[in-house]
Amino acid sequence: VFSLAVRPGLDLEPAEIIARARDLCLDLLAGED
Amino acid sequence: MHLQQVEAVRYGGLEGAVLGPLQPGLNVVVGRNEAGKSTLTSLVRHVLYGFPRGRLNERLYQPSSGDQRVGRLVFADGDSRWIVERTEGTRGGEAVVYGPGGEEPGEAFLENLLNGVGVGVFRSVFGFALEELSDLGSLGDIQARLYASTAGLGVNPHDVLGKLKSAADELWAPRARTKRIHVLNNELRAVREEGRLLQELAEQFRADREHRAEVAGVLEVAEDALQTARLAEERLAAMLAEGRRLEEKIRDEDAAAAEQRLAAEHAKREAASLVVDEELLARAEAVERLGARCELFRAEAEQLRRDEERLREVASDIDRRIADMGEGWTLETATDINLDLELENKLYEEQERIREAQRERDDAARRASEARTEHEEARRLAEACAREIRITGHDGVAKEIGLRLETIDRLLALGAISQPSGVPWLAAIAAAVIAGAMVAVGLVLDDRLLVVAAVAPAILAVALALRPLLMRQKAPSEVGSLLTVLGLDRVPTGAELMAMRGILERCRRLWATEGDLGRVSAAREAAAREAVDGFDQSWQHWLKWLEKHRLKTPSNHPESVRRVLRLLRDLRAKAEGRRELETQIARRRTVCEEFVEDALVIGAGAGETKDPSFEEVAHGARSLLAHLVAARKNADKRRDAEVAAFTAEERTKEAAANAEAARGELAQVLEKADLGGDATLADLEAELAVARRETSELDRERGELLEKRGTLDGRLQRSAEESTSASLRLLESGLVERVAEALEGYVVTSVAVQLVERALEIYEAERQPAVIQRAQEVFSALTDGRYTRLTTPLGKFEPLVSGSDSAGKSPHHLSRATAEQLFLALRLSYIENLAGANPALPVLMDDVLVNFDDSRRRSAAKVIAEFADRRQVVFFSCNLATAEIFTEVAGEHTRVEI
Repeated sequence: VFSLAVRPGLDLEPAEIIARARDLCLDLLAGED
Repeated sequence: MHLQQVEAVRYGGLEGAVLGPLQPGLNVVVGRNEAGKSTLTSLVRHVLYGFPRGRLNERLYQPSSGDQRVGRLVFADGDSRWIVERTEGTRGGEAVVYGPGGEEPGEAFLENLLNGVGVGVFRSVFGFALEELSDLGSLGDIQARLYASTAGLGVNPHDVLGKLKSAADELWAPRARTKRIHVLNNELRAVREEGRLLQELAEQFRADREHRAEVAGVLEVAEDALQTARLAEERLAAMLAEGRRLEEKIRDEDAAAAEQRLAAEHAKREAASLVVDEELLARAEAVERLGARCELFRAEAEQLRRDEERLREVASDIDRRIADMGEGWTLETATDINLDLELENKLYEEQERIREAQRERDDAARRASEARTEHEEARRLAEACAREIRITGHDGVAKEIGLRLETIDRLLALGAISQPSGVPWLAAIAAAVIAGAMVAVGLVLDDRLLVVAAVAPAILAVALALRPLLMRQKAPSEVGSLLTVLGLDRVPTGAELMAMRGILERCRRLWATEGDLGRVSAAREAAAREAVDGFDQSWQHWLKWLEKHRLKTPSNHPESVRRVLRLLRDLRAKAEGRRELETQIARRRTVCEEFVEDALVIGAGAGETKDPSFEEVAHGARSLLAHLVAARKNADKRRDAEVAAFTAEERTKEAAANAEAARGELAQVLEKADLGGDATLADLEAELAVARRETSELDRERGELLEKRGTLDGRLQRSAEESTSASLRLLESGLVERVAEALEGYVVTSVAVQLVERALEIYEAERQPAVIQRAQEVFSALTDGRYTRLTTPLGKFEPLVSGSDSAGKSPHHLSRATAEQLFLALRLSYIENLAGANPALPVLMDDVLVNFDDSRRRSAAKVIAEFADRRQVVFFSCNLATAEIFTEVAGEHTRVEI
């Protein structure tokens, strides 16, 4: 999964990916779509 | 707080049914089959969460009447009551809560009561029947909800996990074709291929543009040549049009000159042919004045004739009126009488005096006649009364009546009146009969005393018979003379004397009245005679007055005199009118005669007759006037013809000059065309035809060039439109961006899936043991220690039970009753571990111990009773033995029978 993030045109650090995934999980578990 | 009462107002087959009162702790409800135990269990859930609609896999409990479902729950806390009432409606129906302080919003109370317990959880673990007890799937869902509620989450984390997986799967999957990232990649490849083809088209576009520039240069030269040729053609066409116009003008002017010459000759001939009466025109003014007076003259002559006729009628009328007035009247005598207002007033006074005297005379005569009639009637009545007492004639009647009245009064004074005569026979006979009867009885009874006593009635009978003889007495001698005066031969009785006196009194009054009326009649006769004398005097005075004013008539009656006065007034008016008419006739005749004289001087009406009538003169004047009008008309026509002849000659000269000028202009036009000295319009037309052919040829060549340029422009335009390299580049960059965005979403979602899975594993491993541990304790108690261990793999809900003589059995490998005991244990454990559930929310169990044997039923009853110490339990059972078991093992509890 993290290898996809370093493709040309996509510039994401693993820490940033994990932070955004955590925010997404928290939003969904709180009932916010 | 606890549930105190359940009321089925209208629900299923129940209407007005009540369950209660229920108490905190254990409540055992015993009822036969179809008593409504399952119905009441469902009712509690529907009142709390709403009535379901038709599409759910659940019994609806619709009333057979079709009315709305209505249910009510009563919760109690000490002396306070809260009533939750729900009526079927949209979205499950509205719930209304009546609290101790009145009506309260239903949402707040229910939200607090049902905190963290959804309808699914309630149905699975709070209010369940035997059929829900074995539903393992519902327990899996409840487990997830249990975790969510204990962790303070709003949603099921398994739902979140599924949603994340689904989102990641929609974006990308290995060896997939239709996922979003795959689709975007394919679109990107297609766009790039299209860009390559576009480069090839750009080369063709450049070649077409150079060719178009060449064609445009040639077209510009052709357009200049065409413009020059068109100008030359237009110049020749204008010259030809001008030449044709001048030629037409020359023809028109020549024709006009010939026509005007003919018109001048015709006008001259017409003027010569007209004859005018110059002598009459010289007298025109006098004739016109006469004509102006002619109509007035005719009117005056006609009016004169009518006035003369009217005068004759008036004279005849006057003669007739004088004849109507009687002999001796003439117009002069009639008009001599002064008919002024004084005469009218005097006539009125005299007439009134006559009328008054006449009225007095008639009234006096009428009154005398009435008095005479009344007198005669009174005398007739008096004579009739006198005859009644045998007195004839009318002289000395009053004296005779007075004598008789005095005689009667003397008789009454002497008392010489006779008593009533005759024998009282009835009384005498009665006394005789009584005497006879007494003798007969005395003889029969031999009673001498009775016989002697009969003498008295016998004497009475004789006395009564002899009474008239005893009472007769002789009249004295004075009475006899008095009776002679009255003409009587015996002494009358008192009543007879009083009757005679009444008649005499009435007779005396009648004669007195007759005398009075006779005097009145005589007086009125005298008054009538005086009235007649007065009328005669007035009439004589009236006749003298008439004589004085010469107004006597045959009857001399006032009405006839008035009629004569009216006739005199009419006659005087007629005479006045006749005089005015005569004056008017004289004036009209003077006017007419003056006109006749003037007409004869002018010459009108001078015909064969020497003394023409008014009509002949008027006719002559009109005829002369008509001749004058004709003479003037001829003079006007002759003058118009002379003017027309002069005008036509002038126009002939003008047309000839115009034609000459036009010929000069035409020569100049042909000279400008440079066609030689003897050129004509035909030569000019030929030159114009040549110019038009040249122009047409140049125009055709220009059209071909324009078509070629249009073709090239079309191709260039299409190329320009198809030249979408910029938009393709934009599309390509957009696709790259969308691929990156989708890829980024996939990366983040995939990581989120792994985060949630890891978290669930950790959480379930930490939390599940408490639930399983409590369920294991309950299950061991229910099975009387046969199964002492309950486990489930981490992160899954797959319970396994084991005991001293068995290990690792799943629910499918247990007997039905044991499996039900396991599920009951799990439910009770879940409820105890459900954080935040309101303690007032009761647990309703519908005959869930049916399949248990006696030993385990007793154990289950004990477990449920202990559970009821912490939360209210309503246990429904149709089995009285089960209720008795609760009585034995549960200690104090509430029992309700329905």
